[in-house]
Amino acid sequence: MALEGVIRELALIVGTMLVVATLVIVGPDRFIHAARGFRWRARAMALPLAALGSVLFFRWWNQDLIHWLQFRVVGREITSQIEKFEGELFGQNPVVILQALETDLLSSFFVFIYIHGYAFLLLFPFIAYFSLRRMDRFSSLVLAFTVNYALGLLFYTLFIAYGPRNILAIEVIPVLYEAHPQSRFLTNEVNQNTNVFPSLHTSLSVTVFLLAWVTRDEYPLWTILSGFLALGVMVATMYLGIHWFSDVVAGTILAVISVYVGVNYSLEGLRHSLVTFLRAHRRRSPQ
Amino acid sequence: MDDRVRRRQLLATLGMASSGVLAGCSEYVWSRAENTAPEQIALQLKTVPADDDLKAARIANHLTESLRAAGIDTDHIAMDEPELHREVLIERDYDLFVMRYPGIEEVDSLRSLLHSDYVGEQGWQNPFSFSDPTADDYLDDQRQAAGTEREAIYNDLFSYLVDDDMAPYTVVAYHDHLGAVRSELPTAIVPNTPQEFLEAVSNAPSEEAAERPLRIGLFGQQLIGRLNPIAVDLSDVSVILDLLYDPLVRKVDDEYQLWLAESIEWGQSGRTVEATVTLRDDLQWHDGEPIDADDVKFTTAFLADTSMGEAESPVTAPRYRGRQSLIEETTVIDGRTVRVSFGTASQEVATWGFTIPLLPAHIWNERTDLDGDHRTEALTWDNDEPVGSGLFRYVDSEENESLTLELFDDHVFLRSDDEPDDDEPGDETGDGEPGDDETGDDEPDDEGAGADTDDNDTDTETETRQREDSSGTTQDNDETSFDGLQYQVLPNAGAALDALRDGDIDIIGNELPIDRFEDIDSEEEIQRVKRETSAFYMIGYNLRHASLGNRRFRGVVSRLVDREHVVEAFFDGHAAIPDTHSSFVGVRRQDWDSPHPASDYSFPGSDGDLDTDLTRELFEEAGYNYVNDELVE
Repeated sequence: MALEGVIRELALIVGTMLVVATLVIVGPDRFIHAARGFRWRARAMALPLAALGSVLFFRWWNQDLIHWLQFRVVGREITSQIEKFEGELFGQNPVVILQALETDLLSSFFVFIYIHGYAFLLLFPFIAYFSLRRMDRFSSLVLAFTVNYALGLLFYTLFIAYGPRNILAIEVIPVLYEAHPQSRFLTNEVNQNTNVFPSLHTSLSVTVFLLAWVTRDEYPLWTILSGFLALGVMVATMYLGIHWFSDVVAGTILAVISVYVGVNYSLEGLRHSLVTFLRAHRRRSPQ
Repeated sequence: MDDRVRRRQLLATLGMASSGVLAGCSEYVWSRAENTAPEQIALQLKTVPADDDLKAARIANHLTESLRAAGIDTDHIAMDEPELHREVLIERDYDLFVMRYPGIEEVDSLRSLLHSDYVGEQGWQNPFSFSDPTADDYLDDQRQAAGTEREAIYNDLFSYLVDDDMAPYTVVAYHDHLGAVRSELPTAIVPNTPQEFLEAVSNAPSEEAAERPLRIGLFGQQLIGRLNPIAVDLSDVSVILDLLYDPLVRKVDDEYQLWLAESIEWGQSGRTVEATVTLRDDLQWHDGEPIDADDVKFTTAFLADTSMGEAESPVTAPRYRGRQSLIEETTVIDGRTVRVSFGTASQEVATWGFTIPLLPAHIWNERTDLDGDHRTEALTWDNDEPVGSGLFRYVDSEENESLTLELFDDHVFLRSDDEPDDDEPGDETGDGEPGDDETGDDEPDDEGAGADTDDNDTDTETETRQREDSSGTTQDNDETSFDGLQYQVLPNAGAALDALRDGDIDIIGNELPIDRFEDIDSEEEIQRVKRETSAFYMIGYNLRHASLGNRRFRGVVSRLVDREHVVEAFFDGHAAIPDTHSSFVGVRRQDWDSPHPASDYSFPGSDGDLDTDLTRELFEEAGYNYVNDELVE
């Protein structure tokens, strides 16, 4: 009930942002032209989307198993290491330093960036790369997202960490949930509070920005906008007390790896080499 | 020849080389043995995340900072409540913990908390590995004593635990329960006892409200899908379990009241204290099965060994362990009567044994199979559709989202066809006063009076009569009472408050964080409610840790939390600091305490900031040293 309310509001705001951005950045002509070729584009999208879908489905389907692996089998509690490491590195935790700047306006801004800006940042590239003449950037995007989620899932299973608001309870304020308690309906739905290392908010945002850099000739405006939003999300995760500085750094590294994979490999290529390999293998082993 | 010479030379060289290597090695070995490098003391402090309990997280944060300032390498580790309970109360895998303890209802609870008999058990049975013959003696002696003699024993125990720094835990603060309710509710309380729930459900503000259940919101990591009365320790859930399961005798406002028992006759056989209990007439489980003497016998036997003899050694139920251990044997006399023998326990202590909830034999009988080496199905079972005998009956639930209960109309206190005085949950067991001789006779008299004359009851127990009147009224006009009770789980306090403001829930069931509570001040729709509790935040020590095993080390650590600062800064004053011997170990009874207050646990510093020099002195006095500002062993 409350969850539906949150989603409806999110959909309305982000939907508006997407429409405006499509008109301004992609342009109506380019988008309509692309939409006409929907059929062949759909065929090109199918494999990467299926891969992303299966990773997300796997994650959702095995929630209990992953939770069990995380807490009972392989998970390592690293919150304290992160906290002590950052304490030694900076003296004062970066989150505490950021939160010292707190004003109502800044809080509203970062809450907006963290929820709406982030959703927009993740969704718009699908439209933008769908509208390009060729579909390979779309595939790069989806593959990079897939790698993000897959590696992120692996990390979350290996490392149990709570965000700064849960540990530095005296100094760090849970700004997001204070300013916007309802958002917890949403974050509870998609995540648990022990999944902070690395920050997937950071890694996905930086992934989008790096790909925007790759396609800067096509969408120069988007490169600037996505850079601004990605930076905003990175700072927001810390300002809101959700992520440690280390999570953001790890998230950035994860983004670089994901984009490298996304740009240099393709699922089509992978499938092709797999088929070749199997054929060669079959020819060699009939006896 | 040349060859040979060369070989010899080679061998010699190799020999030299290897002896050189070994010499280095042995030097290394010696230096290690002679001068073992002192190692910094390291501690792992476990608690819940701030999302679930901001106050616990802040106390832990404060203590971590103090410990680090004192030169101890401290890890502050958060985990959600069920996980924390598993690590601390089952696996005993911790050095320190900060936890909320629901309160010590009866001082005999200290026996299972501290006696070395319980070191090998689970749950709140001596989770500290505390094993001390002097404390054991006090705990054994108090069990056989009563009245002022028992108080004296406890006073000695309290000062032994606190003055001598023996206690394996220390109380930080007793907190008030801060809650919020819709203003239109006639009962402006967050109900906590079955009677309060009954009253709250019986008083709907309007007729529309009467068509729906009273809705209570819970937030945080709530496991309302797990309703196992013998295993679950989570504080919010145990209140629900009190509604679903009834005991023979309930402790209400420090007085024992007969509940499912109609009468209890005390006697003595040799040195053994015995009680003959008669159940009320025509009792039923929620599924319609009759409650009989066999269920009482089963419950006591089952809690003592949930495998009912199948396991190599008894698999005790972790909850109610202290109370259950008072009971030595239960004999069925007839369908409604049992004789319970308590060994050498005094009647004052023994009555506590009757407050364990009764369990239906026909349901739990099937859960005695072993599941793993030393666990039974009964302990791992979720019991998500509980069958009890309490005032409320389970209707349905959605996994960790909601739980709906209804009034159990066939409950002996709620049956409209019965005479009201039989339904009365007010008969005292006659155990309230510590007098020795009269109590045995007192009971039947009291019982007789209760059964025969209304007037007697009304005169002596005005308060309880009123309670009964209000529930009586409920039965007459159903339209003003809610249609049962519903728990709803919300993600956090803010969302719960929003739901309360919107009228989606009527009451917030668990603790509100201070700032949320303060915010409510001037609103019309909702009002805040505050109640003093005996619940407290505690720091627990694992005595298997080399340093924490030393009482003098513990004594200093117990001082490293600035209790006054905690109450002011983290609780905004809605809490009280312990100031007497008994209150430092969780017993908050002014009348029980020796006159001299304990002043030992003063914080070395001010306003939460540690005076490191002073702390250093304290640790050095306790026999510890510093190397490079690190506290070493």
